[in-house]
Amino acid sequence: MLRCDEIDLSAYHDRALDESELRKIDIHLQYCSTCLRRYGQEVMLISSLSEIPPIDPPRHFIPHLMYRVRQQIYSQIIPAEERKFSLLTAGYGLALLTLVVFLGGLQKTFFDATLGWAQLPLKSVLALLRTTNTVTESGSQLLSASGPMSLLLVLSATLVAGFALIKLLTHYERLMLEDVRLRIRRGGNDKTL
Amino acid sequence: MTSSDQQLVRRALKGEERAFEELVRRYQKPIVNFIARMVGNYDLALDLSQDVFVKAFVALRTYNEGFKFGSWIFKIASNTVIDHLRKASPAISSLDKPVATEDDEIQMDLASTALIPDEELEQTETRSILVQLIRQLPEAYRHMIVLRHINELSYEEMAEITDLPLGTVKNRTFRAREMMRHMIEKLEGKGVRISSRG
Repeated sequence: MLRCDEIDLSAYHDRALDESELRKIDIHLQYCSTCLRRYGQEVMLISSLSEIPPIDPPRHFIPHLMYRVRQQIYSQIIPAEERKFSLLTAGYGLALLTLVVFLGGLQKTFFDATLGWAQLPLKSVLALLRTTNTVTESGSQLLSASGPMSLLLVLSATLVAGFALIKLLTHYERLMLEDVRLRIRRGGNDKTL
Repeated sequence: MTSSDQQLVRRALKGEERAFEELVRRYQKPIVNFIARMVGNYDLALDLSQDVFVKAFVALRTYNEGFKFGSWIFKIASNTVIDHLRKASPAISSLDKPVATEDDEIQMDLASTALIPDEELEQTETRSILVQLIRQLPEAYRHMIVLRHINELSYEEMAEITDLPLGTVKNRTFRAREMMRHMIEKLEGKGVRISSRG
C-alpha cells in the first residue's frame, strides 16, 4: 500500500512510471481524496500552462537583427581583408625594394648603355640608397659582372613589381566596394528602425 | 517548396542573407517566448533574443547537421539566458515583478480588470498568476517548465538542449510542477481561484 508522500503525481500524469507503479497509484487515487484533489490540480496546472498566450516579437525584430548580422559580417570581413592587405603590402614592398637594389647594381652597365632616359630618376634613387649604404660598391661590381643574368633578374623584378601594383589596386578596390555595399545596406535598414 | 532548416543553413553559409533571415523568421517566436518567460521582462527578452541569433550566425559553421537546428538554437538561447541570469542575480527588475516575502508567501499585483467579462477575467487572472508563479521558481526548475510547457518540447529535446540526463530533466520538471502546485495551494488558501478553460 502506497503512502501519499510516496506518490509522484507529475510522473504519474506523464506516465513516466512502470506499469506496476501506475496501477498502485490508480488504486490509491480511488480511495484517497487528498491525492485525487492534488491530481486534479496537476491536470489543471498543465492545462492552464498550455493556455498561456504566446508573445509576439515586434515587426522590427528581424530588420534590426539583420542589421546587427551585417555589422557582424563587416567586423569579420574587414579585419581579414586588412590583414591580407598588409601582408601583400609587405611582400610587394620587398619585391620593389629588390628591383631598386638590382637597378642600383646594374646602372653602370645596362642603363648607361641602353636606357639613358631613365638615368635621372634612377640616379636620384641610387644616390639616396648609397647615402643610406643600401647598395655597396662590391654589390654593384658583382651584379655588373653577371651580365645577362642581371638583365633577367631586372625583368623578373619588373614583372613582380607590376603584378604587385595591380594586386594592390584590386585589393584596395575590393575593400572600398565592401565598405560602400555595407553603407548602402545599413542606410536602407536604418529607415525601418 | 519550403526549404528545410538544414538547407537554409547551407545557403546561409554560402553567404545568402535571405536564408538566415528565414531561419530567424521560423525561430524568433519560440526563442522570444522562451527568454521572456525565463527573464520576465519583454524588452530584455528581445535584446537577449537578438544576441542569440547573432551568436548563432557567428557560430553557424559549427552547426552539426546531425542535430535539429531547433535544438541547436535553443541550446544557444538557454546558455545565453543562464549566463545573463547568473550575471544579473539576485534579481532582474521588472515593474510587475512579484515579491516573495520572508515567510515564503506570494504577493500578486494583478492588472486592472474592471472592464473584462467575468469568465474572461478569470482566465486572464489565472494566466497572469501562472506567469508570475513561473517567475518565482528557481532558475533550474523554471528552465524545465518553460521548455516543456511554454515551448512544448519533448523531454528528449530538453535533455539535448540542457545537456542533462533524461532522468534529471524529467525529475526537475516534475519537481517544478510540484512546486507550482504548492504555490497554487497557498494562493487558494488565501481565496485566489485558479481555473483552466478545459
